[in-house]
Amino acid sequence: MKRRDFLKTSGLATAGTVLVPYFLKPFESMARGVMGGSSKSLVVIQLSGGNDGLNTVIPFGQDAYYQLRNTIAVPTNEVIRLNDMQGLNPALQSLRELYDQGWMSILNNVGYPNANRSHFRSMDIWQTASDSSENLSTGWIGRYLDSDCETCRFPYDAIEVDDTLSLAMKGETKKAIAVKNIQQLVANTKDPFFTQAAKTAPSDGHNDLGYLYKTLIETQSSAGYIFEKSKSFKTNSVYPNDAFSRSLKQVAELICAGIETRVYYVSLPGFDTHTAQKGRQDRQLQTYASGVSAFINDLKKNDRLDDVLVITFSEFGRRVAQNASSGTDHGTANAMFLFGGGLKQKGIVNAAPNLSDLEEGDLKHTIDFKNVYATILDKWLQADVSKILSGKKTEMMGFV
Amino acid sequence: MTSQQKIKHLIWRAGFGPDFSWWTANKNKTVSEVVDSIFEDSKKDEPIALVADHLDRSDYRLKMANPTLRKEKRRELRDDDRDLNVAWLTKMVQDKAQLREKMTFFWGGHFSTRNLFPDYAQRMNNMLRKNAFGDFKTLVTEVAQQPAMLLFLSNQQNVKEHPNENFARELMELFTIGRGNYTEQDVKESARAFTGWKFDADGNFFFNQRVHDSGTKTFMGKTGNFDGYDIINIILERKETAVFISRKLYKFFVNDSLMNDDHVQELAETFYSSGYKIETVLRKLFTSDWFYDDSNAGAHIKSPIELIAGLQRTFPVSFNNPDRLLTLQRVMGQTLFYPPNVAGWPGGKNWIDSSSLMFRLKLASNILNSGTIDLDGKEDVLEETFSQSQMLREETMTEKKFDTIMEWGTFNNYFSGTEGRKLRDEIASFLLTSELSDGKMAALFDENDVSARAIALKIVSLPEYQLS
Repeated sequence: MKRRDFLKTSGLATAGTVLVPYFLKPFESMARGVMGGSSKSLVVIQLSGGNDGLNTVIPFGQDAYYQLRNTIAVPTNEVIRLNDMQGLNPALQSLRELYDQGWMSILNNVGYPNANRSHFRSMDIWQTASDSSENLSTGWIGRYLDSDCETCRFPYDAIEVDDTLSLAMKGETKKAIAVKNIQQLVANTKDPFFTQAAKTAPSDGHNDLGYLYKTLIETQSSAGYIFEKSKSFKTNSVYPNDAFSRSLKQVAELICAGIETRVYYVSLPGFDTHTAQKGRQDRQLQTYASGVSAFINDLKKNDRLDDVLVITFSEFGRRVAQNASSGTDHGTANAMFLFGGGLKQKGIVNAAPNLSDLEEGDLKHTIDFKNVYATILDKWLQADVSKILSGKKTEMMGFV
Repeated sequence: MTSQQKIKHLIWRAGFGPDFSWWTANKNKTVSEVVDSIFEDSKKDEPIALVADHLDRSDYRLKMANPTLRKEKRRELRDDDRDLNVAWLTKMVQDKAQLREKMTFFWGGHFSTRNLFPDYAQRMNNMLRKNAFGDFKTLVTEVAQQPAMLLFLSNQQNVKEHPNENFARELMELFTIGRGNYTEQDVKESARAFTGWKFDADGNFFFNQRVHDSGTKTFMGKTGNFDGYDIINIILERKETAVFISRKLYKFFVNDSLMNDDHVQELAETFYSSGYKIETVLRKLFTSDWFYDDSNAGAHIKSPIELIAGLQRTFPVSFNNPDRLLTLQRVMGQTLFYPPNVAGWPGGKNWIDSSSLMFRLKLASNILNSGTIDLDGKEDVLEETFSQSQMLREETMTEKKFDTIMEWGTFNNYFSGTEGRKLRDEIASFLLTSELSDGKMAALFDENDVSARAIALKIVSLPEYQLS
């Protein structure tokens, strides 16, 4: 029989007559394999627009900072000092306590060779973990899902709290699930017509039609699972009432409910500060800090902080010198923040960027972000780095 | 496939789907008649003449330097950008030259560029349309001389003292021969050959001898005082280039998940021996038996643009608010003139994830019922000078109606005199490229589904409707 004919005849899964392929089974009926005791998860926070790292972690110990930023530099007496050279923007006040508790690390000067200063291109590079001259159509988390490791078998293994899915979360054969409003997603998937249609899925999940039905059924199953889990734990911690904090609250509740998700992805836009930077960036930083602080404290209270690693990145930092509009233009390397109860290097991990050694006015990166990814994949998610960052030379770091 | 199925398959691949009058007029013809008429219909080449050919760059610079005027200038650019987008989409829906528009769309993803200036974008688009199935060498050469491309891949900065390899690399990796067929040394040497390929203030190509490296280069085993034209010639002498383009055509037109190397080879032979005549390779493709093989029916996941354009071709529906068309493109991840990067849209299964699938399954019925858009979509991190995403986002938050007019009376008339089981079959046959089995029909429809509207709304909500 030709494959096509087979599809036609078996197309309708009238109850009981057709062997149900594995992907049609609800996940609830599938036991996850032995997990080796790991229940660790990763939360990625993306600051979109290119956050100005030098006004986030302030190199107040270098005169060049004040010389090159005469109207937007944070005065020395306002800086939240972390050591003799660097401190936090006062808008990040609520991170101070996390830092003092040893739940926060700072990676200075993270970037990649041949930095690209276009938002969309540099964001692609960070999300796909590609080289500067390479175009990949899958993301690093997506390839983690593809790598078929013990901790990455289901669509809900990675959840993006948003309406649509970022490239970072798309693999070749597997993709994460994007959920902003879980009730709405469940309502959509439970539409009686889609439920009926799902029963007519072809048995072959590999061609385009099979793939669509497989995705539909997985979405129905995942959405139902996430919804049930999300109902089972409601935090009594207080979060600020903005979209970013609400997203983190949703993540915290899922983690505390014991969902088996490995990776969460949350974005905060609004960092493209070409003009009148000070007020705008401070507002965004404060939103960020108060959300993260509520989140970390909530996890601590519920005894989950040791199993969670939070990382924050932006597609690039900004130029060292300010521009004529009291703003900053697109630059290169940037600081990354890490949070969690399992950090092995607490506080400031590496030296501050050297503002007197620039390349055409931009910082020279000292850590390649792919090393950060490799370390997380290997040491935190127990995944096979060579499958996910294939062809990349990476070095393990010591922060987890 | 039956003859009618073949014709349906053909018009979805060689165009953006059948409108009802076309379907009625062509469904009983022979396949070869329809292939001929598709090429005949596409002889017409009508450029888009929406924005001025040369925007005033000094005006641009002046206004961008002034905080008050900057806002106004950006809005102007955004409006032009939107109008250009809608104009192209409208051509896909309405233009009789369906194959020309489909090829323009193909090349737009292949020679992928994004830039701030709508006049450059329009010029590039019209050039791709003009050469859509002409001579590939002319096409590549004209692409290399477009301001949109020279700007996007930094060839303006490619000068003798500081060669910039960006264009030279993508020319080989993505536009012609593909990875594995050239060396890093070839990239360096060809970058030298393209030094001095620039455009002037009016956006016209010119060769700047003063910054051109006229020294001897060794490229793909040949040595000489090569310029850009020589490089293109040498690349096209290699048969791998014909294979690379044929492979891409096969994925786009035939099957997006299964590659048949024998069929690709057949196309490549035809393409190469014709001297890279695009029309010749396309005729070969549309007249090959394997194109109509059952395994290729419905083996293409409609891209968001194909989904939107196809819906507008098959249904008498119109959008009152053109902004909604852009919102849809953004939410589903394919905005005309804004491919994600120089590699273009990856296509195929890449369009589908859990949230995009649910959105797409509900899309057609929402548009036809003038429903609401219930997703905000992700902001594209566009260049700051263009970025109005915040504005767009606020707009979609407050007003998310599709705002469409659907003429159900007209649609009903398509099928007047038909009812019962036959009505379902006819509507399904018009809207889908694959057949629905009897069992599936029985599972999805009941005795209440008697109107053309009720039947059509169910069919467009099926996963099958996402395929062509």
